Amino acid sequence: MLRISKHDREILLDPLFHAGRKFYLMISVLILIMLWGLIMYVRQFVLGLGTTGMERPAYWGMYMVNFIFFIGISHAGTLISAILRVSNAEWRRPITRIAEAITAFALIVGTLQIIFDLGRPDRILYLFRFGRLQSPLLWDAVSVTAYFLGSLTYLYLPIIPDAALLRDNIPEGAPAWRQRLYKLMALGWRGNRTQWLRLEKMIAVMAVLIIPVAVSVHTVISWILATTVQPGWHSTVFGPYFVVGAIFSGIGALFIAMTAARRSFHLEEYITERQYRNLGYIFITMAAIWFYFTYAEHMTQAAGQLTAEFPVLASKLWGEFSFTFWTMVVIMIMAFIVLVFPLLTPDSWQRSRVFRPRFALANGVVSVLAILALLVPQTQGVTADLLSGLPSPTLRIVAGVFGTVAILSILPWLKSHIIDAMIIASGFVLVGMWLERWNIVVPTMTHPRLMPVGLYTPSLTEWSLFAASTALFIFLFVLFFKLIPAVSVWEVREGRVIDETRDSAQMPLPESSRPPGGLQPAFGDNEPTY
Amino acid sequence: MNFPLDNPFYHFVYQLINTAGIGGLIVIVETILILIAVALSLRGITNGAKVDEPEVYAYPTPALHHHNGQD
Repeated sequence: MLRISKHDREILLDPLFHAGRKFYLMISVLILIMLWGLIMYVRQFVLGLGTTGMERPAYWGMYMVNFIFFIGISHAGTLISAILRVSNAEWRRPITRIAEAITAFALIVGTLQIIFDLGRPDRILYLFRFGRLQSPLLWDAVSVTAYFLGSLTYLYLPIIPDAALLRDNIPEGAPAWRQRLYKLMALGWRGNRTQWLRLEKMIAVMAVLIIPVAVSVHTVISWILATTVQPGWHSTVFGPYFVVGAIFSGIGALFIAMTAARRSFHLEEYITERQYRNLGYIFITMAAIWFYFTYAEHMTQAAGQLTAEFPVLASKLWGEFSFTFWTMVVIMIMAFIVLVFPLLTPDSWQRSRVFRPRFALANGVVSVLAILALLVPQTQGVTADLLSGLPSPTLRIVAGVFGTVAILSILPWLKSHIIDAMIIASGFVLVGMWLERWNIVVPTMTHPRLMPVGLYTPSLTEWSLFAASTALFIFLFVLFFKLIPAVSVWEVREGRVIDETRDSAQMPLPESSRPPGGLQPAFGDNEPTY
Repeated sequence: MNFPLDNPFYHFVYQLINTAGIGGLIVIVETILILIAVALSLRGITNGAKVDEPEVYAYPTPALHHHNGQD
């Protein structure tokens, strides 16, 4: 029988067998949203794709945006679990399972978007009956299938020892079906040396294999767009641009998911600031790379000024998609500020009375009001009377100055609340990345090469299915972590032993260059002569 | 110069990427191969329990790789 300490058992295993009112309330709300989505899908199935906002020439809309977005989020598992496992980063241990679960569930929800987009779900079989290898859609089917099966395996393998732990330590009175479930999942696990070696070997092999598969998944998704001659899509950087965006949004989703698990299951001593800080550094790196690719992609379009391509760029910069484009840019800059600027803030600012959240909030409100006054000049009523005397340059200066003071004032708080800072940045990144997918798909679809410019506005059906898809993703996540510990118990216990061993080891001082018995030579005295 | 499709290799590649249904077949074969590989690996882990090793461990450490269970 496998044993677990009382402390680990109370925190990691016992909550799996108790569900409070909040849990049932959350599940009920999620089921209601999914039911609403199901009703809207049945309506779309009966009435056809005319219930969506899609029409010639915009054959792809929100479903395609959601497909790219959710598949992108699925890259969280690959990055955190596989890359960090391969690189032997010890701090990864408490968050690998959450990352791997995100991958599996995001892939399910992402693939569902294709079924929505088809209108007639039975036509998915056409891909297999008539699919030819020259089609990027088929490459996508190949890579997504490999990624999904690989991710499920990669999620399941580390669960085997934990399932055995649950099988041997299930509380009295637990339902019989759960006993059978854990027994089945444990695959007769005893935990002898041979089993551990085989399990670790298989996890290591899967970690190495899944990285190129994950890269191929989002590269191939980008090729679905890039292998066409649609203006704005025919780009060689789309592959890496999509992969970087996927990892970026995946980390954002992981931060939110691990914080939700941390607070729900009281995992504060397992998922610590160490995980947030280290993952935050990767987040910053991905943000910088994402900005680089975004700039490169748009700069080459602007410099080329090709007849078919420039209207797409113009629609983003100052046309009908300027709101979503500039909102994306501003949101991503805000995310970058939240991630990077606190690291550069002097500690002395935390003692200042000026740099306080309330002061930041007050300044932020003034700045936002000034921006709104600039954006909505036709505002009627009291606001218009108050602002009518203020010229536009004054409003810009007010917005800029108060906005800057607001950002500077909030920095010390962000520095001392790293978890909250990461959650704020992740929220910005997830919204920004969804908008990025929108800005890639829709402007090109509505500005095709050989047809007149079209319009696309998502309908209630599309918004409902987006809400239902998000609810399904959260539902799967919540349900899964009611059955399986959110933290890989055996990996954390192994990590604890490794950390303790390292802490107890005496690290020797570096070799001294000081000559024995003599004074340190003056600088330059012992420089070699040539 | 001959037309590339006169070459049997290019002709084969042309047929491979243009024949309807080949793509679907590849997805099906890929799925079957992955499932077989996973099933065999899981069977290996399950069969590991039958090895005559009385000592069992709640978690591994790097030292377990060099430990033969005799000492």
